[in-house]
Amino acid sequence: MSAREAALRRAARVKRWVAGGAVALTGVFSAVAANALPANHSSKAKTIPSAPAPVPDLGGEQQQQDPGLAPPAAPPEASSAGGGAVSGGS
Amino acid sequence: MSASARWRAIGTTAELFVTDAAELPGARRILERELAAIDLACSRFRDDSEIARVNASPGCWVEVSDLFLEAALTGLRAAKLTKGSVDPTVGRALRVAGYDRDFAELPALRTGRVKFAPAPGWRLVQIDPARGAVRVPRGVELDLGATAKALAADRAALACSRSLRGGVLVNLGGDLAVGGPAPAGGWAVRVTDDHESGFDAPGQTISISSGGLATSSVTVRRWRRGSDELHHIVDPASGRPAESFWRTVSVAAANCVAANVASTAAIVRGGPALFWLNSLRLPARLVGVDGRVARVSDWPAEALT
Repeated sequence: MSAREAALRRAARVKRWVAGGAVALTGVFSAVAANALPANHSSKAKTIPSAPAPVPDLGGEQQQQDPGLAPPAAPPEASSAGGGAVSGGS
Repeated sequence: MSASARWRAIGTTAELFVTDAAELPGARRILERELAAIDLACSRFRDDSEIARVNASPGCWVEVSDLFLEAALTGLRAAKLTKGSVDPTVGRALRVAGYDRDFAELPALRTGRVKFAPAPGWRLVQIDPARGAVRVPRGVELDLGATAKALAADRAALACSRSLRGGVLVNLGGDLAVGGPAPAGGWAVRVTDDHESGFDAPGQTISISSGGLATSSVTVRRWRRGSDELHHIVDPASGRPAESFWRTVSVAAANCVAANVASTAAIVRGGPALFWLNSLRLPARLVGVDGRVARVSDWPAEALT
């Protein structure tokens, strides 16, 4: 095989890789763009009478990490006081 | 010099302690204003309340006040944090079980068969904070009673600490919130079965200097219907009064709402509540139906006298 033929084969192989890569990248960029840009709402979507209600963010799933049920800054201490508030069922 | 005041409000006892006696009238005005507002927003027993309007309008968006919105979000958050052990959709369960009016007006014995209705579930409640609106589907009735009372205590304590000198302790039917600096040695609190008891009732005396403290008990707000004896802490999963494993649970937390939610959830969860409270590092005292006492996290041992 001449040096010229070998070079042509290499060039053809590179061309195939470039073409395949371009197709793959086009798909990737299309998917990214579809997710990143606002949707073009169809008329059908607009006519939905009552969209699902917004549910407010109520905090994380992990109870241990949620500040909602956090311990006090200082724990209770034993006391021998003779008067004060009463905490009981109500 | 410290001072205190005590009066009846929202179907329970309201009590105030201040470190500066001169601030007591101002603190009382703040608390009375807060109680009037929370009652108008969240009382199931008033036809003119916002919660009555929401419950009477299933399927419709109802515009509500900022306070009701905060109370509703607090109730939903409680449900999420407890995985449904505390659920604001127990309104119908309480109503059909017979708790359909202010407890003071409830006859000790009611006739007729008792019915139980599981809570439909907090996820069905829709809230649109931007519009200030709430919607519940047909069959869902809200009850924000416990968390709303604790929220009122937290709000009043915060408002007092912002506008008055010294410290304040707000006590709404045994749900306590600390605002501002506590007195030397902290605020003395007796934890016991019934908040109406005297300071010498069986229990334990502790002191707190921040956050909130709440006690839930199955020994209070009990009534009979037919042959069934009922109490007010409902297990949302069954709609029945929670099985009595713990008689009384007291919890200290970063605020009164958290303490209230944790103590109520502990009653509903029964035995496993011990490990749950410990995992959350919440100091708690749990009294079993047999009177045995368990303490978790940093809850102190009895003081030696």
